[in-house]
Amino acid sequence: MAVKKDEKRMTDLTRQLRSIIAQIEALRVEIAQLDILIGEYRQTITTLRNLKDLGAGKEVLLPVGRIAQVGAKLEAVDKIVINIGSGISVELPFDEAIQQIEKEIVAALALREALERAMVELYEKVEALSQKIREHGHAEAGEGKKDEGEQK
Amino acid sequence: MKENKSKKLIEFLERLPEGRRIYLNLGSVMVEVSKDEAIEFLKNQEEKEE
Repeated sequence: MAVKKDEKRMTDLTRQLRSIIAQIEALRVEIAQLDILIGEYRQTITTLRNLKDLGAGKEVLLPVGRIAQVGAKLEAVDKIVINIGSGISVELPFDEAIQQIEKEIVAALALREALERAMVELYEKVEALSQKIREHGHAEAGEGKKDEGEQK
Repeated sequence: MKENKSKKLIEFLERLPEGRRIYLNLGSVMVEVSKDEAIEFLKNQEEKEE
């Protein structure tokens, strides 16, 4: 009876450990996606600044689908259309548009930090659970040796 | 959470100075709309989600 109880406890601990590891993995994926997003936002700012510096009249290539491009003349880059979410885009003056993207970066970084904190907490739980599993394993091994001794 | 986001977007649109262009993203097409139309669109979306 005691053996079954021990087995059940061990199974529970292992299941908890697996669940936490899965949560850590999910957080890792989310953090990686945020990193890509932040990188894209930064790249957007750089591209917009470069286009503005190039000025009106420059020839640019507009992508059409994956493999085709058509030439177009650049107008003065003083107004940018920014996607503000929920299917709405708004035309903003250049500096305001940059500020808007920077705000998005700050928000994404704050979320990233929160996810990292959550991940650290989960790692602490993994450590505590691993310790419990080790202790449980030692206790079971001790019991096993005691049983062997009694049989001899 | 979503409701809060729509509310923030509506406030953002209301604060926009007149003359700013606003577009609705409909698939790969962007349609220019007035500020009122954009706000109405967000309100409708909010209602649908409720």
